[in-house]
Amino acid sequence: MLMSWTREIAKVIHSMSMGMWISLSLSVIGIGCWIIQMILGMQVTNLDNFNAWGVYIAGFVLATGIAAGCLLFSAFPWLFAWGENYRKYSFISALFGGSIAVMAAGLFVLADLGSPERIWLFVTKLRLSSPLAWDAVSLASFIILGICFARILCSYYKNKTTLNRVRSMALAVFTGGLLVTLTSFAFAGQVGRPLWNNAGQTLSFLFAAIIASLCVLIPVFSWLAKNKKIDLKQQILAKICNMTAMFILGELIFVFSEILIGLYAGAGEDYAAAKWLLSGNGAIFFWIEMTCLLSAFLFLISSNVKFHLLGGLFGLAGVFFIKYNMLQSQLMHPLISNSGPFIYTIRADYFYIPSFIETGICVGIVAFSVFVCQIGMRYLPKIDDMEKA
Amino acid sequence: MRYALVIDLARCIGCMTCSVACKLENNLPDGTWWNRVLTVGGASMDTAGGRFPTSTLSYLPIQCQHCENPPCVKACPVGATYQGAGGIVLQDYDRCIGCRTCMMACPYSARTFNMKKPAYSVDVKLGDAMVPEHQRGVVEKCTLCFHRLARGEQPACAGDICPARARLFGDLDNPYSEVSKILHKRPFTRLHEDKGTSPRIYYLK
Repeated sequence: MLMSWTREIAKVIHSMSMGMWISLSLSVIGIGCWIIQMILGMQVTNLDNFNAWGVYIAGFVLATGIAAGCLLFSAFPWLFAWGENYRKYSFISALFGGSIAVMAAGLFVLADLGSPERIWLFVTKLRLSSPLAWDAVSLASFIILGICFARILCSYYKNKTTLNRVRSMALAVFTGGLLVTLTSFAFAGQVGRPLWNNAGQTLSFLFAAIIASLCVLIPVFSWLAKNKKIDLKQQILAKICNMTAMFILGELIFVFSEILIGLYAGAGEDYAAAKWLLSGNGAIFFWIEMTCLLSAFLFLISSNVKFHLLGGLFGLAGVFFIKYNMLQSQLMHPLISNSGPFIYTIRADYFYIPSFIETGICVGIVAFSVFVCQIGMRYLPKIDDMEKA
Repeated sequence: MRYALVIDLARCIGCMTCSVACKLENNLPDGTWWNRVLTVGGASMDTAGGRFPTSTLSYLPIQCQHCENPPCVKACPVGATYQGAGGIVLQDYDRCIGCRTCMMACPYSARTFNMKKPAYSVDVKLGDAMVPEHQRGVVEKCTLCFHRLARGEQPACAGDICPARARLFGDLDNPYSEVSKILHKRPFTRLHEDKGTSPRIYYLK
């Protein structure tokens, strides 16, 4: 058995494309950076006592959103009649969301923990009052639901199960995907963080999850169609792009509302944060976010097919910066911000940029996810063959 | 038993003796302060705000507020933060996974995270022998010197250590304690009471 696995691995290595070698190399660099962080501690990051959550958490939230959004996308064609045309994409979406995206989310959390060797305590000492516990339960359910749904779809295509059973499972998957709203409570539930502490965050998380997942699925579907693994009609791709664009519009409305409400007060916490984002130290990242989201919207509604992939890329970047700016705008404006000993004073000229090690780890996690996706897509059966069978 | 700390803001002179006492008692690593005195005034420490002749300067000693409804305890996913005897909020370093969710939950920015292996300016261990070892990758905060409370003593930052006698410690369930008596006599405030945390640090106006 070991010999056959070795032969299989050797076969994969020999047939790896340039893209896969790049992903693998970046993954190795990421692992190296993580080892450095494990040895030296979190001091190699640019985090501090005020800015305790940074790019790892932004990545975690993004990956969790992608997982949830993929599950929602995989389930809705079986629950709503108008979604029937998208059924053939459910298998890929469920598998991708339930495995790769959850794996990425888990890796981001592992990178962020100060004592990762104690991660087993999440299982043995889990306290259910904590929103982070809900995150853990949500992610675990994403894996189970995604893989089970993919399996039941295989059975359905082989005529080994009924449509009703698929629909029941789809309902469970759809409900599970909506659990992404629970993950927003890690932010929205914090009374000490007034900028996060509002119900709008829950909706924003749901929209961001759908946007991020579709922005990832667009290139995945395009690649699979190019390699004749699935049949992707231009009309269907255009509809997916338009769907994504509508959710981006919803997210833009939320962002603009937050900014305008903050500015309207003229003074206070919300005003300070809004001003920091518009014209303060946080402005560069805020305007990158706006540029990405607006560009994504325009590219995705365009009739030019070549722009759709760009739209997906900008959309993903836009959602990442939504999370990044959500973190920074609050963390740079704590409730108690009086000056004190240097280490505990928010400096007026300060803003957070991830360190080289943080960037290396994040790039490594993304690259590894891409690598696993590339391998998975190689071994993916042709969906049309599955359907016809 | 409900422990409480009362700080008289009218007496506080910002000398940071309480901060240093805490640092020594608990053998805090370099760069870690559990108890710090913030300046209410200008943009930097010990600077006044406003314009002469109406400039203002006062001090706000701040530490873990040992809330009756602590958001950090709810937020901790592994139960490393918990409420002990007398309502003190404590941290189990051996259970802390360093996720820093408690730091997000705390409205008072009272917690510190050990980014690196704790380093000390002196070669000998300072402070009380009962203080747990500081660990890398865990969150720490004021413990109200629970090791001293267990011996019937007051926290290191309270009582006679303050040259201005601005800090009182006691049991609110005892109507004859200094803290109970003074809270009946003088107006007081608590930080961010609107957040529902019910902090146990009272600031006399």
